[in-house]
Amino acid sequence: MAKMNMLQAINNALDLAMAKDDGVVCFGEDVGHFGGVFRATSKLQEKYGKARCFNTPLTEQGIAGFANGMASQGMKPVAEIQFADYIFPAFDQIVNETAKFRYRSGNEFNVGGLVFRTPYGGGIAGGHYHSQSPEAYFAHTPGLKIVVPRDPHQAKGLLLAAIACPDPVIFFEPKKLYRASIGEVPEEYYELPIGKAEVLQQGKDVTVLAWGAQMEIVQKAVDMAAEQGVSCEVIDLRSILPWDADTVADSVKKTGRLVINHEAPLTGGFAGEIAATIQKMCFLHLESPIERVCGLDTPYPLALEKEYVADHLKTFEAIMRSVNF
Amino acid sequence: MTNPNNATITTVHRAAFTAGDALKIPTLRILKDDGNLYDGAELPTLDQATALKMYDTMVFTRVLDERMLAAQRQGRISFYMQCLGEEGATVGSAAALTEQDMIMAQYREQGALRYRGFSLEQFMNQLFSNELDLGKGRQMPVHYGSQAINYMTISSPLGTQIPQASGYAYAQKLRGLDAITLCYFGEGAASEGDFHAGMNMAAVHKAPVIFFCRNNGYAISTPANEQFVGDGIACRGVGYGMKTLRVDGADILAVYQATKMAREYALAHHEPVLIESIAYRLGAHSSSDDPSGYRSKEEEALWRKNDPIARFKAWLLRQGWLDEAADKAKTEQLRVDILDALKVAEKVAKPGIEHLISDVYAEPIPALQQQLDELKQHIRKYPDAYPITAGRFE
Amino acid sequence: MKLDFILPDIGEGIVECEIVEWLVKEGELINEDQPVCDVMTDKALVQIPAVHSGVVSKLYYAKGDIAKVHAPLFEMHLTVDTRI
Repeated sequence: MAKMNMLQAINNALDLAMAKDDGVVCFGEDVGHFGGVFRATSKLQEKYGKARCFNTPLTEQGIAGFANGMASQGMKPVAEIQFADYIFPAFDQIVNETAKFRYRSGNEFNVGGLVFRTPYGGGIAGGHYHSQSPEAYFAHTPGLKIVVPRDPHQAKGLLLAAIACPDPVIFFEPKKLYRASIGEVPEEYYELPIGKAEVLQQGKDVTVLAWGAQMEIVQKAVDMAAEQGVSCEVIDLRSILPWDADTVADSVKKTGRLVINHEAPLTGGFAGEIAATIQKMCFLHLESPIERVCGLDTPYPLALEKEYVADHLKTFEAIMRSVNF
Repeated sequence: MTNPNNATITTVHRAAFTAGDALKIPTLRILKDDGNLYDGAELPTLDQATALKMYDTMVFTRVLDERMLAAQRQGRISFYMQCLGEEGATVGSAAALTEQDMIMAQYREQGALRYRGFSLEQFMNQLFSNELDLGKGRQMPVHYGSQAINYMTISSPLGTQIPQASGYAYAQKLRGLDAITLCYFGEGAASEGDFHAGMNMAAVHKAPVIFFCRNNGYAISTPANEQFVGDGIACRGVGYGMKTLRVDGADILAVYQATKMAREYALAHHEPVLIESIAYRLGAHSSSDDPSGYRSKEEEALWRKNDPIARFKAWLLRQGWLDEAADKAKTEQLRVDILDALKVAEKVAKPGIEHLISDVYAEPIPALQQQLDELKQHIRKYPDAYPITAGRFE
Repeated sequence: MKLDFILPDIGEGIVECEIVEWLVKEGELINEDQPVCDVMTDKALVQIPAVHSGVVSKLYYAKGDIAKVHAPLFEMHLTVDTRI
């Protein structure tokens, strides 16, 4: 066991993966000698050589296409997109190529070995273009898997699982927690399951569901609710695609209430998918409407970031509305 | 003195533009129309068997194209793309590769696919989207692919294969393989951002890939002079720091020689090479297109004389490697064989319903399995509305 | 055996086309692959060849008419394996 922040956990995961399998190759903008703008790939070039950890030219569509090509040859590229806000030039390669590679070829070819890693999310005064949470665009794309860790222990295990997974994975790293989230992390290789949510805290009055950096936020709200005598069951979704509807439904059948929190804007956000599925699976068990606490339907602002975000107070209000319905 | 800008700095003291005409890129051509060699032309090393295989492959695609366009007009397949006029470009380049080399194509390279050994049955099965299609009936006709012969499955978005070829070739290099990647695309696809990204990355990361641009004059209805203004696509290779060749795409021997030279160089130096093939898209863009809306019959008639098959045939006859009468009989038999294969493939069943959800992931996720179960229930209730799959599953 | 030839969707979602020219007559004995008619869609002028050999028994449209896709275009009496 060692105390690690999330970046160190990610760096450790990459190190172990590269040591275990010489097919694992890391690349992206500034990830080589510099170690990445957040230092996630720190020292990897030194250890594994320039051929396996290198800078690419400034082109996300190139990075994504190159990664598709490498993965189709059988290697395991871990391609970094410097900020999730810049993933959009790669959208065609990811949605039309990565996601469909195995299916369209009748399994003659696949890019299962591919992982895209990218820092996402706000809370760091990043404004429009350093704060976005684009998971919903990709959740709408069959063929991809999408994973979001909440802390260093989760980050290492889920990233190793993503690299080992025979399907292409987008790994969204909550940049707000890179240095702020510290925890005990096993030093050896381990994987955590993709596609399985985790119940962090049992409760009986209302299910509170979130992922990534929002787990800390909802925990604050849940603690405030506890002071009011409200017992919350807290779930970390962990995988956006495939998402663990059964675990969430089991919880809601018990509590009868659901509050979903995500950073991304409300309209078209992934909470809509969760709400639609859970109302179908748990209709007769629901005691109140499903609540969604999300970013406003605006670009991510700088000066008024506090007002914009899905914070613990808004979440607390939603929990209380839910139980008092 | 360090060179942080990675440019060759030659200082002058009076401002003057540098323009495209400073770069002169010649076009390689070996064969005259009558099958004779040009003076000073160097004949590539080519044995009779290989030459005849190249010829037979071109004839095959010509006859297949004729048959399958007619089949589309008859409603037997939904869509088709011919490669008339470009048989030499694709067959000549494919013939210069080894079987281990990966081919990543755009959509008009059935000549290369056939040269690799894709069978008549395999062509038909893909075109009819039946259960024997390697692609399991998921994509439109002509979206061929086969792992066994190292031909990457075609996808419709244009140019996406270009950076993928760079990555694939980079992996071949890392693995120490005695193999390269050849990437086909048209002059229109070369306008996509993926072209720029892929070319640049191949050069920077030293990937052994041959970028083969089929400049055939048209991207659907858009002529090349509305696609770009530089000197063809070849000038861009130089811009990315790449060795570049321009070749007459209707001269199969020139294409063969250029590709052989490119392959040798790419493998030895781990550097990409750009080849621009100059030819003419004699047919329509696809079965959905009619060129009379945007180009003249006179222009087409002029370029019809630029037939790679006729030119190579003339050379083969001069070599004494081809007999006119035998060739005619062979072609007639080929027509019969192709029609027979069409009629067989036409009757083969479509893929089973389980293939609706297989291969989305390595293993279906629970939500997909659930969707399939619900769909099966639905089909059991309304079998007449789903004739392809009704009654064919448990 | 009588068989209707159904006008196919020749180009990604067209619903109808104009009969520009019939290249065969009712009562005519034709071969598989023989051109039957020229039709015009909003994308292309297209020639349609026969799928079977036989006698053209009925033309469902006249020259200049608008033919509907997925509807019968002409009818044939099939001959078995006959080539003229």
